[in-house]
Amino acid sequence: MSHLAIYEANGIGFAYQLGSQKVNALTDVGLTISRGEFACLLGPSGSGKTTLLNLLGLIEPLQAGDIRFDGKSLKESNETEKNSIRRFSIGFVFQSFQLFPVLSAEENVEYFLTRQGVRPGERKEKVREALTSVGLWEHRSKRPLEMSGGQRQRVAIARAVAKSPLVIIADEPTASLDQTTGRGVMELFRSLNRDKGITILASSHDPMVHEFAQRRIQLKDGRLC
Amino acid sequence: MLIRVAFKNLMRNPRRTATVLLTVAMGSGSLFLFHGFNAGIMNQYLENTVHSRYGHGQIQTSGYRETVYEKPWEHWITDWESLKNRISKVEGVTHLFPRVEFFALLTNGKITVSGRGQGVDGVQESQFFTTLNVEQGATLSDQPDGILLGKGLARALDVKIGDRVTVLGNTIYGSMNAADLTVVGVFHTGSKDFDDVVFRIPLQQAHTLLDTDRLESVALGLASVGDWAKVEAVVKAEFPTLEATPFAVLDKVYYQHSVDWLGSQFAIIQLIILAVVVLGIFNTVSTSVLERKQEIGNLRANGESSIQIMQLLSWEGVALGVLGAAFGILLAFFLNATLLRNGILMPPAPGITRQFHVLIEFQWSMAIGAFLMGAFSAMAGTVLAGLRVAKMPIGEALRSV
Ligand SMILES: Nc1ncnc2c1ncn2[C@@H]1O[C@H](COP(=O)(O)OP(=O)(O)O)[C@@H](O)[C@H]1O
Ligand SMILES: [Mg+2]
Repeated sequence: MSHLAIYEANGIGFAYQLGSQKVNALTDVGLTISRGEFACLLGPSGSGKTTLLNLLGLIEPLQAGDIRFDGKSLKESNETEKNSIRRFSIGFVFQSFQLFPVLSAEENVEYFLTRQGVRPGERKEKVREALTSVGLWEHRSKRPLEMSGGQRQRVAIARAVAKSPLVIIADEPTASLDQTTGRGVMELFRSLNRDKGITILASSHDPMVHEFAQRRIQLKDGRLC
Repeated sequence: MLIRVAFKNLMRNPRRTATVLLTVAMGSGSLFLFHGFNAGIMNQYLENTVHSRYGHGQIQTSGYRETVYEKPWEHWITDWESLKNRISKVEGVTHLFPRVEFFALLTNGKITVSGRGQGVDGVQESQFFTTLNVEQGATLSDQPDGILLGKGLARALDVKIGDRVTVLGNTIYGSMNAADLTVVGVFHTGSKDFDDVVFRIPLQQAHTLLDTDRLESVALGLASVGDWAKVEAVVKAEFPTLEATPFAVLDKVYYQHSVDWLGSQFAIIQLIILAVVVLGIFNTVSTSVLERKQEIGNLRANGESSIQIMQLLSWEGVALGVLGAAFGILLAFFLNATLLRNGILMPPAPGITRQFHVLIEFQWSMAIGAFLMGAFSAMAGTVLAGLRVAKMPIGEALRSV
C-alpha cells in the first residue's frame, strides 16, 4: 500500500569527517515531500543542499534523525531493503551526468531496467518511450562523448524516468549547462512532472531553476528557513 | 547485458587491456611450456632408466632384493620355463631377460682381477638396452663364448677385441670351475664403479660355470609403462613365491628421486608464475577500477550491492582470464611447432651419460590446467583490485574525481 508522502524526514543531522575534524553540514532538518510535487532546494553554496539530497537519495547513511521513505523507516531498513529502494524507487540526475561512457544512449537507459529485471520486450518499449520523451530517440545509438552537454543531461533524465521511480532526485542538474540549455532541461522536468505526475526533487542556487519549481525549500547553514 | 558491459569496459582502454591479456598469456603459456618441458624430461628419464638396466621391472623370489644370503642361489628362481610361458603371454610384454649375477676372477694368463659377472640372454638384451655404450667391438649378442668387459676391467686386464680371457669361479656346490671366452667388446655406462667391475657373458656360459639352471632375476621389457600392472597382477596371483618390482622402485635413487625433484621444482616455479600474474593484473586492474570510482558509485546509488559490483568486475576478470589464457596456450603450441620443433638440447642429466633432446610433451590435461590457472589468477587479480572500490561508501565514490 503506497503512502501519500514519499518522504517524511525528522530531525536529520549530518556531519562530514574531515581528518580529525567534524564539519557540520545539516542540523535538525524536518521535511515532507508528497507524491507529484516538484520541489527545489535553494541556498548558497555550502548550505547543505547536496548533503540533504544525498540523505534522501540513500547515498549517505543516516547519522541523526530518521527518514520515512514511502512510509518505511530507513533507520530500520537493512542494506538489502535499501538497495531495493535505490533500484526501483529513486532516479538520479547528477550535475556531472554520470552516464556510462562505453554505452550508447539507448544502452545507458536500458541498463538499470535490465537490473530491475524488466523483460526485454517491455524494456525496449520503456527505453523508446523515455528517449522519445526527452527528444533523443533519433540519437539513441550515440555514445555520451558524441553528444552535447544538454543532450547528455537529457539522456540522464531519460535513464532516471525509465526506471519508473517514485521520485527523481536532481542535484544541480543545470550547473554544467549554459542558460538556454539549462532552461530546456528544466522545461523537460516540468513537463515530466505535469504530464506524467513524476515527483521531482531538485537543487540549485540558480534563480532560473527556482522559477520552475512548484515548491521552494530554503536552506541556510544546514538548516531550513 | 552484464557480460556485454564487461566487454565494452575492456574496450575502454585497449592498451591496458592488451597489457593484461599479455600478462595472462605469458603466465599460462609459460606454465604450459614449462609443464610440457618437464614432462619431456621425465619421459627422457623414464626411457633412460628403463633402457639402462632394469627394463620396466623385474621378477625375483619374494624378499630376495632386501636380503643378503650366504648362498643366494638357494633363493633363485627355479622353474624358468613355466614362468616364461606364462609371463610372455601377458599383454604388453615384449622382452624377457633372464639373468644371474656372480663373483668371479678374470685372468689373461698374467694378470688376474676380480669382477662381477652377469649371465644374460645377449640377443634379447642387445635389442632392448641402449645405455650400455659399447666403445670397442660389438655388444654381446649370440656369440656362444663371448665376453663383454667394462672399460675399467678391460684396461686392468690390458686386453683387446678377440683376446682370450678366462673366467674363474665357484660352482654353487663349492668346486672351482673355469670358462675360456673371447672378448667381443668393451662398454662404459658413465658409472666408474660399474665399469670397473662388471662383465657380461652368455647366460648358458654362466649356468655351466655355476653348475645350475636357476635364475637370479627376470627383467621385463614392455610395450608401455602402463602394462606393468598386469604383469604384477599375474605374478601375484599365479607365482606366490615370486615378486615383481617396477623400475621406479629398483632405481629409486636415480629415477624416483629425479622425478620427485622435478615435480617439486615445477610446483615452485608454478607458484612464482602465478604470483607474478596475479600481481601484474592486480596492478593494472586497480588503476582501471580506481578510474571508474564515480561510475561504480552511480551503480551503487542505483541499487547494486557491493557483491553485484564484484560480479560485474568478475566478468571482466573472466573475460581477461579466458582470452589471455587461451591466447597463451595457442602461443605455446605455436612456439612448440616452430622454434622448439626439434626439442631443446640438454646437457647430461644426473644418471644420464649423454646430452639429450627434450621434446616438449603436451597433454590436454596440462593445457587445461595452465588455462584454468591463468584464467583463475586473472580473476583473482581483478577481484582483489575491485574489492576496495566495491566496498567504498557510495557518497565517497561519487565525490571522487
Ligand atoms: N566530503 C566532504 N567532506 C567534508 N565536508 C564536506 C564534504 N562535502 C560537503 N562538506 C561540507 O558540508 C557543508 C554542506 O555542503 P553541501 O551539502 O555540499 O552544500 P551545497 O550542496 O549546498 O553546496 C559545507 O560546509 C561543505 O563544506
Ligand atoms: Mg551541492
